[in-house]
Amino acid sequence: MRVRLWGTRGSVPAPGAGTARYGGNTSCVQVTLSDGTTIVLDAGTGIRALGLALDPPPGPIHILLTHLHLDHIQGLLFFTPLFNPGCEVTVWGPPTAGSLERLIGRYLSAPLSPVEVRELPSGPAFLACPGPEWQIGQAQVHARLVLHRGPTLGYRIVDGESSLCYLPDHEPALAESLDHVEDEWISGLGLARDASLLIHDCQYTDQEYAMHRGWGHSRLSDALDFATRSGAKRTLFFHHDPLHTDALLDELGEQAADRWRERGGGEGAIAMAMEGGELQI
Amino acid sequence: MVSVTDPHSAPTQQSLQLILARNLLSTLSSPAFIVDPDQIVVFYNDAAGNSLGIAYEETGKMPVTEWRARMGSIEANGNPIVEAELPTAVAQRERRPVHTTATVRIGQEDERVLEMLALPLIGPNDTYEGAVGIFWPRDAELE
Repeated sequence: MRVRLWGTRGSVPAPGAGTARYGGNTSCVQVTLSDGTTIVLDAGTGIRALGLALDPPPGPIHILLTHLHLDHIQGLLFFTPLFNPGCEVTVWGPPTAGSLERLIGRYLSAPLSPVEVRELPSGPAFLACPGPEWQIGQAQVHARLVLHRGPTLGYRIVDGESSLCYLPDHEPALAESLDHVEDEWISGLGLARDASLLIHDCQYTDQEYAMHRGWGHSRLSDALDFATRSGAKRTLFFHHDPLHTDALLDELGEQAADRWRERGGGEGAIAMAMEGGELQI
Repeated sequence: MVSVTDPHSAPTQQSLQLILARNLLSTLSSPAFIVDPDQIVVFYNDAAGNSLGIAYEETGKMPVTEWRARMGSIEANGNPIVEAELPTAVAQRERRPVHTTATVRIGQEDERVLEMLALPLIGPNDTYEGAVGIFWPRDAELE
């Protein structure tokens, strides 16, 4: 499967000269399965440029939302395939008290939006994930609720021998260090186990985390612990804080790589996610 | 590092509701424990470990039957509370919170009067995920 990163920023878009290399768009990852099926992970502002690139649409598009925080749905209104009556779009999301369409309609409705959900020309289907696993195209998709604020899913997409785990907003070490907890008690670890590629939250430096514990995001140390415990072959740290400039992310990336080597990890197995990055896994 | 697994296999781990419950319980000074839907005590906190005389890290999970045996005698109104009537068992069967006052004697300890509360954890789609049991020593509170 092929993976392309269209948005790697967390919380709010952060455009500007200081963030141009890692990118300012919020969460969006395109996954192209071996059979050509398109899966889109989250609909942050990165999905706008993806929509333009999918012209004409290659076939049915499946958007998998981890949760409904604005930085993960803000780009929906600007995703051009939704305005193409010939395009088949399915939006999958977490189990919630109300219907997914109604909840997204809070954003895609007046006065916040000039277009209502029911007016989208493609007539997208909005579906709660049907269970812990289901099939999309060639892939088996696994979904589990993970530790973040509000109902939030993590995903594992398995296509042949390749597997991608996506945990963009995740605070698995909220109450205690991951050092002392058995595997089965670590949020998201079952999804990430031995993944070909793990995309994981690393919003904060260790110093910043003290002021943000409980906000639903990970610091570098905990992201490294999680990556180590998962056994993932490659990890991209994701959901960069909007205050983190390219220079700071370079520095964090070096720290991460050094600490990964100290743990005996392989060279190049850990990196900071960069908008526009593309990988074949 | 975990062992290499079949990439197609379903992830095996506790539900988020139980993970969150463990996160909470591990920070409480009230003795507390978690029972899963299969009637396994899957976690108890340090305070519960102090009462039992053995820490979770030493025992790991155990069936409710064993947990009940380790608790020693548990009585309400002078009658033993059988396993099926333990608050966590009732919480699972009837999907409701359960409160009771019990007299407990563990090993050679003196009898203690405990307030016992069990809360069923109902997840999305009304899935029963387990129950949390919490004890408050009434005698300590009265001192």
